[in-house]
Amino acid sequence: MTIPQAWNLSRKWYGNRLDRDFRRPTADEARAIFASVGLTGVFWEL
Amino acid sequence: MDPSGEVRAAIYAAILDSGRAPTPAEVASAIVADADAVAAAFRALAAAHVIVLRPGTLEIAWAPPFSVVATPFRVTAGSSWHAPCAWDAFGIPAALKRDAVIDARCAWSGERIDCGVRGGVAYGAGVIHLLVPAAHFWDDIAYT
Repeated sequence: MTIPQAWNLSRKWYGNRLDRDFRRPTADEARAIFASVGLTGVFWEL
Repeated sequence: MDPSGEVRAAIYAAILDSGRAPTPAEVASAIVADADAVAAAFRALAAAHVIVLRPGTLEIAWAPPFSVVATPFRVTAGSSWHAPCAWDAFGIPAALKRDAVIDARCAWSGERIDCGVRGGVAYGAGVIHLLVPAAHFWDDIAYT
């Protein structure tokens, strides 16, 4: 992934990590996050 | 009581404050909780892939995007921390909602890679290679 993709992915993946009500994304949510930053294809399937 | 949320918050607070991971006893003392319940919460958080323990122990190696183990990815955002991987190096400014300077090393050449986040925008040249498909990240999270 490119650096802009890593940053966009990190903001969506880790942006709420320190929040009191944090929970890990579900598999469906993770797929949606990956796709939203252009990470698609077999490699990113869960 | 499920203390996982409080325990998670205490773990991250300790890492942010000191750069080192707390023990279950230290967390139990900090949040005034039963030590066995905190130890169980450590195991539950690890099972949920929220933290990574050293094998066979309750010692935290990673509370992603932070690593208390030295890595080739050092992130300065006020204080400095290590990140487990290149993706997580950007996770630190994302979690802290701060700009950051990332001192990274190419896994292949060892060459220094200057990158980071300035004014909320990522900078730096390079491509991050992941070795294992997403479905298998947690087969061995130290090898991705």
